[in-house]
Amino acid sequence: MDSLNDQVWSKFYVRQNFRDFSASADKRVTTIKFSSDGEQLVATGNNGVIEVYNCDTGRQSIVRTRKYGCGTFDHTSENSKIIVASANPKTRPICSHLDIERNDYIIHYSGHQSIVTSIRVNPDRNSFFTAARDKNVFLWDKRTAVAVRKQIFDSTPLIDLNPTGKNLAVGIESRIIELYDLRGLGNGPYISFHLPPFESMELTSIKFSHDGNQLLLSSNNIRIQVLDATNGRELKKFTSKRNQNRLSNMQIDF
Amino acid sequence: MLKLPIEASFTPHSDYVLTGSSDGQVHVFSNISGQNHNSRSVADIQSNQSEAITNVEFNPKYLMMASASSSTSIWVPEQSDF
Repeated sequence: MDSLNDQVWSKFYVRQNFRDFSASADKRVTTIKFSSDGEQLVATGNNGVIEVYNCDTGRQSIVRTRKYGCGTFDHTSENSKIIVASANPKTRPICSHLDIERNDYIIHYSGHQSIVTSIRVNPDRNSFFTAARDKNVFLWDKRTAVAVRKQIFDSTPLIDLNPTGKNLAVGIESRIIELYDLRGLGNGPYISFHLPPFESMELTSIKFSHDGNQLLLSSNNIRIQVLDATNGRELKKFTSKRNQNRLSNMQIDF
Repeated sequence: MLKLPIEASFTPHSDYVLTGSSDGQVHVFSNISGQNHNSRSVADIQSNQSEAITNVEFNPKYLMMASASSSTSIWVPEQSDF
């Protein structure tokens, strides 16, 4: 990849929009992620459509998830398969191992009592983590339908896996980040960071940097923070006006 | 005021932090230079829509990014090969 610099950003423009003309007015794209090799983009929408984009050829395809719908997801080691959460409020919440080339469900994972909000596939193992509004984090073996480990928290946890495969970060109640060693999940967190209290701030996501050294915290407020992932020290804080506009008639479905 | 849950993201080498905005822009912040508390963005780039962008991701291999609003958008720099 060519290197990024301050000047190149102004050259970026939207080359392509996925247009789904059957979509209703309240359609939102809920999750977008590139595969780790950069070859594929997958996007899930609240209309039950999974969009797949080949970054090399520009080819687009879609998968319609009629019965289960599609919420948050993550890539697996194979680009043709994802782990995706259901989004149909009328059915029991499940996650599924889905072949997006053949539109074929390989296995369903059930156990959560309410909507699954994050999925993180462990890149090195046949396992993945889920977090849900039932305040649980579950660890799953990709090959079995029942969770192998469960832990309940005081609020809907936010999770991210360190790309190095060493640890799992869990954000709780918008004020604590706990880090768990994947080799000793049962020992509890090996370190916890208490975040400085911000007025009416709710954390909406935590993300490791690709080298695993930093943590990026997003909120529903105007603050974005970068922390040192080893000790919780604040490295950067960005404040933008990005999120202050008055909006009407807009529902964001997470 | 409705506050949107807008997710920020790192670029592949963590040099920049990207975030969408409620008016269809992508804001780019430097994660290496500048003050510790830096509210000024390196660039503010406008999409072809005025609706809220809730998520921006940068491609780990190609000079390409994607944003989420009511549809998915693919961004590339001008005079790019792809």
